Amino acid sequence: MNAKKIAACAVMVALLIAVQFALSFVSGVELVTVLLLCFCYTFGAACGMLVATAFSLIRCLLFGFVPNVVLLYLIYYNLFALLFGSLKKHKLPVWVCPVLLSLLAAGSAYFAIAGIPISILYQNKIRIMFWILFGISAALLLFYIILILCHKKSKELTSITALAAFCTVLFTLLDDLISPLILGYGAEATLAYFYTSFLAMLPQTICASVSVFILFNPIKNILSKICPDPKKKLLMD
Amino acid sequence: MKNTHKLAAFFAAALAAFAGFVFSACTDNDVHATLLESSETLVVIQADATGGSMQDAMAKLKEAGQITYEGSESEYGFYITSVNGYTPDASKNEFWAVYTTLGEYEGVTYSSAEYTYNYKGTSCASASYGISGLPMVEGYLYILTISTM
Repeated sequence: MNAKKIAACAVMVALLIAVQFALSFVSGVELVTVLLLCFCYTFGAACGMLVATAFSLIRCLLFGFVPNVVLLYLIYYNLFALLFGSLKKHKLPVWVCPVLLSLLAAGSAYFAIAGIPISILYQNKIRIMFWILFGISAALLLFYIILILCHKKSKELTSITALAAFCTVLFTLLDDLISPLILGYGAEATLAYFYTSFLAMLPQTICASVSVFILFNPIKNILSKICPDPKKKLLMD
Repeated sequence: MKNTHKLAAFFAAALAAFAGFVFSACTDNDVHATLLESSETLVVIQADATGGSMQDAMAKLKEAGQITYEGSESEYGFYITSVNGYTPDASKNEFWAVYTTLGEYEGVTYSSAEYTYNYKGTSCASASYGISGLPMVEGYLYILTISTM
C-alpha cells in the first residue's frame, strides 16, 4: 500500500462520513453503499477494509458511541469490503445475479401479498415498498436476461447491483441479530424489532439498488483514474 | 456497446422513476383523546375513540396548547427529542420511553411486557413502536415518560 493509496483511503473515509451525515436528514436515502462499493472494487479488499474500519469508528464522533451500531458496522462493512474488493480478481459466476434477483423478487412479492404483522399505521407503506422492491428486482432480472440473450459482455453492472441490494438486506438482518443480543431484548421485543426493521430495510435496499445501478460506472471511472489498473498500465507502457 | 449503454440508461431511468413514487402511510387525523396528566417527565393520554396514531393525538394536544414536544422524522417513524421542554440528559442515559396498555390489536402486538410502567395501579407495557406507529384505540392509555437505560 503506497502513500497515494493511504491518502485515497483517508479522503474516502472523510467523504463517507460527510455523505452519511448530510443524508441523515433525508429518511431512507443513503449513498455509503455505492461509494464504499466502488472504492473497494477499484482499490481492493485491503484498502476497503482499512476504510471500512476507520469509517465505522470515526463516525462515532458525529453519531455517538452506540456499542451495537459500532459492532454492526465493524462486522458488516469489513465483510462488504472483503466481498467487493475481491470481485475485480474473482469474477462472479454467471448464475449468482439471477439467483439473487429471483430471491429478492420472490421474497418481495410474497411479503407484499401476505403482509407482515406490523402496526396497521405502517402496513400500506410497507406493502408499497415491497412492490417497489419487487419491480426493481424483476426489472434488473429482465435486463440481465436481455444482456445474456444479446451475448453482451457488460453484465457486471447488473450483478454488482444485485449483490449490493442483497447485502443491504443482510445488513438489516445482521442488525436484527446483534442489537437484541447486546441490548438484552427478550423474545417478544426481538420479534417486534425484527418486523419494525423492515421500515428501514426496504427504503435502504431500494435506494442501494437504484444508486448502485446509476452511479457504479461513473464513480468507478473516476476512482480508476486515481488508482489505475496495473494490467492496463502495463499494456499502455 | 452503444446499444448496451442506451439499454442501461433506459433501465436506469425506469428504475429511478419507479423508485421515485411518493408513498406515505395513510393516517387518520380525526383523533379523539384526553390528556390525563402532563408534567416535565410524564404525559398520559387516553384514547376516547379509535382512529389515528399517538402522534396525531399529541399533535392535536399541542395545537390546543396542552403539551409541547419536538422531534424529527426517522426511518423508524417520529423520534422525540423533547416533551414539555424537557430534553433527556444523555450523560444519565435518559430517554423518552413510550408505554401503553394496548397489547394485541387486529393480530399485531403493540407492546412487550418485558418492561412495564405502573400508572395509578394500571400496568402499562413498553411499546414496540414509537408514537407514529401506535394506533389510538378507544379506552387504552398511552404514556410518555423519562426512563434510563
